[in-house]
Amino acid sequence: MTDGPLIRVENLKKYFPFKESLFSRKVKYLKAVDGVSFSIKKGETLALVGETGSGKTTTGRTIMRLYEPTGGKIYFEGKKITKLPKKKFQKIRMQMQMIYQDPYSSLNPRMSILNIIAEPLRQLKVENIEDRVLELLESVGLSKEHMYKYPDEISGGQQQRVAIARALAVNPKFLVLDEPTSALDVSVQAQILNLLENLQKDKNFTYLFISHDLSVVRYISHRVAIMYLGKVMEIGTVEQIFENPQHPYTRILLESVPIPDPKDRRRKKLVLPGEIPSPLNPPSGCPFHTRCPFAKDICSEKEPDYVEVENGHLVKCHFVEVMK
Amino acid sequence: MKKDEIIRVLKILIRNKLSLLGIIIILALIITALFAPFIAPYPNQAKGEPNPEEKLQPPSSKHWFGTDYMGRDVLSRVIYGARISLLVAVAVVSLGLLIGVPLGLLAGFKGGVVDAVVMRVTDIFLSFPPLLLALLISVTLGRGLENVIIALAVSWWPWYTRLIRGMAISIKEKPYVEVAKSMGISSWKIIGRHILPNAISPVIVQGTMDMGSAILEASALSFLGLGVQPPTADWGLMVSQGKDYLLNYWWYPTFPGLAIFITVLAFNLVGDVLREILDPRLRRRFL
Repeated sequence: MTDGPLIRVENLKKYFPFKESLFSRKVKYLKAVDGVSFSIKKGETLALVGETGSGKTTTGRTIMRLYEPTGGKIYFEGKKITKLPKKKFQKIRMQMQMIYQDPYSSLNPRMSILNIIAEPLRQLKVENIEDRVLELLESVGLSKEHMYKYPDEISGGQQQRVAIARALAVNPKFLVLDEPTSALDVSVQAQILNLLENLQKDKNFTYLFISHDLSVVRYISHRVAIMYLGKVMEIGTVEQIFENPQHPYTRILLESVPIPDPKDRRRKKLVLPGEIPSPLNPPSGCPFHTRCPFAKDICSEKEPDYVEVENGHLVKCHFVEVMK
Repeated sequence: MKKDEIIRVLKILIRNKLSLLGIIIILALIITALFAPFIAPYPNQAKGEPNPEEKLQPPSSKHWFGTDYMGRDVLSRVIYGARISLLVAVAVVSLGLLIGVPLGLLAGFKGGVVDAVVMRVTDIFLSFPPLLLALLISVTLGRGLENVIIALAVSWWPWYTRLIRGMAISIKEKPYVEVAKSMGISSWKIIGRHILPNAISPVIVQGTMDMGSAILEASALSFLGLGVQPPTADWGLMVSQGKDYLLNYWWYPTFPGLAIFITVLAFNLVGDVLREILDPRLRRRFL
């Protein structure tokens, strides 16, 4: 296999058409994802971070073609999958699986754990299904006793483990993790994160980790992309983003993480004013200028290009050099 | 597993005493219907044999519910009437489900043109008052029990289609359906394994309650002379024939009327408790 990235996304766009009112004929577009580019190497975790409505989940779903992209290209193992016909894409889609935020709704409540995990195995015509299910259950830290239970008879953490086991059943290479821990208790969150980390080490999985929880992101990912209104504002390694944030939005996000030491709290902080603007009516120029404490005239007029600060550390801001 | 399930259901039933009563009434009705020839004191009169010596006798130890205008034992005829009523209830609802459920699943899951066509057809059926439509079909087809069943089923299925379509639409958006799709499971398997089992509970509840309504409407059609023909014993028909005698011979229409009332009530009570029994999310709470 080549050393190229497992997943490469180029200028990905997903617009949802909508009508302004029931009677208007003009169709407008909600630009949920607007020109996102990144690549993920094999065995690497890229975190997509952003507020609600920033388009991070849509990005994940569009990569799996659960939404058809409006524009841009997606490559999987160097092969372009954006225009692949459904039947051909199916084989590749099997290698991309998604783990959902709410584990309960990702499991059919009328099926036993055995049947839930066996469904993809039967589809693949695997033999000795029960043995294989048990193997999968054990690989996610569950045991035989869980096999005949139903989703509502096990805890949220266990449900998420079952969902992971089912995803593993098809031997995927790439997993989209859509806030996989945010519906769980903190103690259980750590267990699931460790499980995901160990699985990655064992099987060299590639993750796209969608989250808004910065402490979780710092723990699990190798690289981080900060999203705002459908655009990536800053992308870099965990160290680059957390130790040397360049974009004002990233800096504000990082400062908004609560600090345990009360003495530190007196330090003056940058606070993000207001709400994220509606993606139905995005601001002109730099999408962040309406809330940016450093905004100048140019910000509302011209959309900034990416500036490479360090190797692989890209920032979308007019004033990167100045702020240094 | 199975044992736990039975215990859970029993616990629900013990908490819902009225529903338990409903189940007992329905079981009693089924037994009555099955063994009518052995239970009815005058099986021949129930089948229509006149008994002119004992016309319109009030309730007595010989005739517990009195006798009708041809001297036939009302109790025996009410017992035989249970057969017709249960047959109508089961036949109408199953036929309605047989037509309505597949159409609703298809409409909800496929969406688009299929959905639009199916829904407009249900709209046409639902735009008639239900009894009026059944009446219309019944008149067109002619008298007789089979025609009443067909007429009622035809006017009934759109309700199930609507109900299950709504459920199917909400369930097809669930992540587990999305996962199944992404794993290449065929549409038919997704409908059968994921959509139907999760969409069917409210339909079963509705269907159970509808058994009562079907009996009521079949009785109404009989009352209007469209259903079962004399001398067959049928509750609706008996009420119809007895209505002229209500003031002087109250027992004649009252007992078959009571039978209708109690049966309809029982089906409604059972429908209520089924809702709780069928909800998988409530399962753990009672174990």
